[in-house]
Amino acid sequence: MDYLVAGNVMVDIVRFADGSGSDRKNMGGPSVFAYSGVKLWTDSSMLVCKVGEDFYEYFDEWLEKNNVVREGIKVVCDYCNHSFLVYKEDGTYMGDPERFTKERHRSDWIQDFGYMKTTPEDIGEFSSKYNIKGVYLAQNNDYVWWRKFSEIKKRDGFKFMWEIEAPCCEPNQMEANLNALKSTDIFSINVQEACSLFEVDTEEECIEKLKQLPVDVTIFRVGKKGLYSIAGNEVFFLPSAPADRVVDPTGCGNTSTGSAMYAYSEGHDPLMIGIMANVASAQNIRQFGVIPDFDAVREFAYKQAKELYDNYKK
Amino acid sequence: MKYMACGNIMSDMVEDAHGVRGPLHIGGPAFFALTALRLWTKDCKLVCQAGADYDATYGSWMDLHGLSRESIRVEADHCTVHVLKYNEDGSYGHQSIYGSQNLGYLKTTPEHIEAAASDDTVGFYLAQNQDKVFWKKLEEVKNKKNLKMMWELEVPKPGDNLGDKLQRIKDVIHIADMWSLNSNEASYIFDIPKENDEDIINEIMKLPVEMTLYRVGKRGAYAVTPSTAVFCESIDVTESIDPTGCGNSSTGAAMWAHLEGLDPAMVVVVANLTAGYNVAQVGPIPYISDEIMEDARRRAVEYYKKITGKEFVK
Repeated sequence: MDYLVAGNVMVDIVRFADGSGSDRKNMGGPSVFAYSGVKLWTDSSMLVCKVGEDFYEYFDEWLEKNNVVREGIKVVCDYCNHSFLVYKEDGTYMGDPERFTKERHRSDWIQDFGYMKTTPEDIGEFSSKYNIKGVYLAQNNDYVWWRKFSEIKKRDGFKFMWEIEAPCCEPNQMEANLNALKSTDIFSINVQEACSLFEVDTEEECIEKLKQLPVDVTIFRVGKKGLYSIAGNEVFFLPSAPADRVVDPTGCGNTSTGSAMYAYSEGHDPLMIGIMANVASAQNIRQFGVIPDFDAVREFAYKQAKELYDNYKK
Repeated sequence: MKYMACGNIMSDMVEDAHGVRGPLHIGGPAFFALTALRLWTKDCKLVCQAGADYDATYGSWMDLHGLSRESIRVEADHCTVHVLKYNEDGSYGHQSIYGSQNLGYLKTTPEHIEAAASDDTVGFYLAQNQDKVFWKKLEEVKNKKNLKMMWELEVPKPGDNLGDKLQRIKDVIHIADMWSLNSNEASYIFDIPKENDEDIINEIMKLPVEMTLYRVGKRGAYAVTPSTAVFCESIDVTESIDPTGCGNSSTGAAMWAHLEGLDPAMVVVVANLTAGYNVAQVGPIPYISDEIMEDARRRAVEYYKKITGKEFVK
């Protein structure tokens, strides 16, 4: 086993600004999308997450079809967090207030969200068992959490991708973020988060700030336009990879981030890291929920990444 | 340790209409239950997941009472703190400073209770919801460690979408040995007016627990077994200042009394006396000296005679 993809799982229902959407319950949440971004390239990867008992009710078929390793999936309560996302015209989204209040299992669902959060020990259980190359997690900047995690990382020697959580992107969070970055090799943030964190207005200003962070690579996601792959003073802008259809952008940020973690841990250069992130995102946007069949698209993904890389290199 | 108070610790502070915050008061279900156990026995400990700041807030009380910290796990930066915000008209709302997610992350797990229990542990207190997965794991721990459990009901909230609220309780209550709820909760789950003690107690008696502490607010409480119910009115030790935590502390004390083999009359006397000590100040009983422990025992014997007309004989 080479890769661990850890964190929260959600069950998503998505509605767009024009009223269209899907009433099907889709697999979602940062870890699941990021897992798909790794699984697209390699089967040697596993989810490390805590879920509700209803997880298998919805997703057993997908797990079975894709031979997903189940060892890291722990059932700790009755229900997964069910999320009803409504997109706004600007592409951002919020929870549907109507369905949130009526259709969630628990009114205090955020408490369950906390109960199911990944602990450093959850990661350590598997990073000590396998010779892990890389780990992904969307996480906050709690000092205690990072202290425990840094000890595990030092012990087991893997690379780590931190996808920052939005509440940590307030300007007063910088000190705690820098503490977290001490244990981070590759970092991922989107444009709204970066503008808030650095109190700036433009992508260029964000990039200048991101270049100064003490990590090897930063994936700076700028929505449907694509992303920047930043490594020190090297900055590559990579437009979104072409997709044959655009259905649902939910999870594209997590998917591309997971994929970037894989590419980085495999030793690819910053250009290829960004390209592989975009290619994974282009696969994610083709349907509601996660990539349904990895075997069916893996060859195409490798081919597309190589072609894009060759084109950029010219 | 013979007895364990398990679950959340949390503090609160009052904010006036001008935004001025008062002092922090330590508390939370498990902590109030711990103070109750400590009033009757020194053979007890706290089992909880805490913020790193617990030492500065709860630490001195723990040390003053010679209590072990061996089962307090520091898992985050901050303990849960609620701010009670009072408005000009006297109404108030409350807000968690560090959020519900932090509270959920710090929830006590069945695995933590198992690790905390030693060969001489007899029973534990826990305020808990009706999540079946949690209870299944708890049942395994109870059986493995041969423990008795006092369950303080966390009642389903009106906004929860979890199916029949009484059935949810019936699904898990057989795993508990002792139960505690108040009249508002009982009225809600049994659909019986809360003033109707007799009908509510009749429903409680049908449930498969050895003993229930049924708390009827300022009026007092009942100790209910499958065959009897003993009422004891509230006991004033000194002036009544703040009822916060009286339900938790009386519940913790009732567990101790029941597991010490005391009869239902003494169980409810011990519960109400403990609430009497708890209500005498804001926050926990400040210092439980040997003299106060002895005083509590003496008062218990007196009240026992008062409500039963008999001398107490253990």
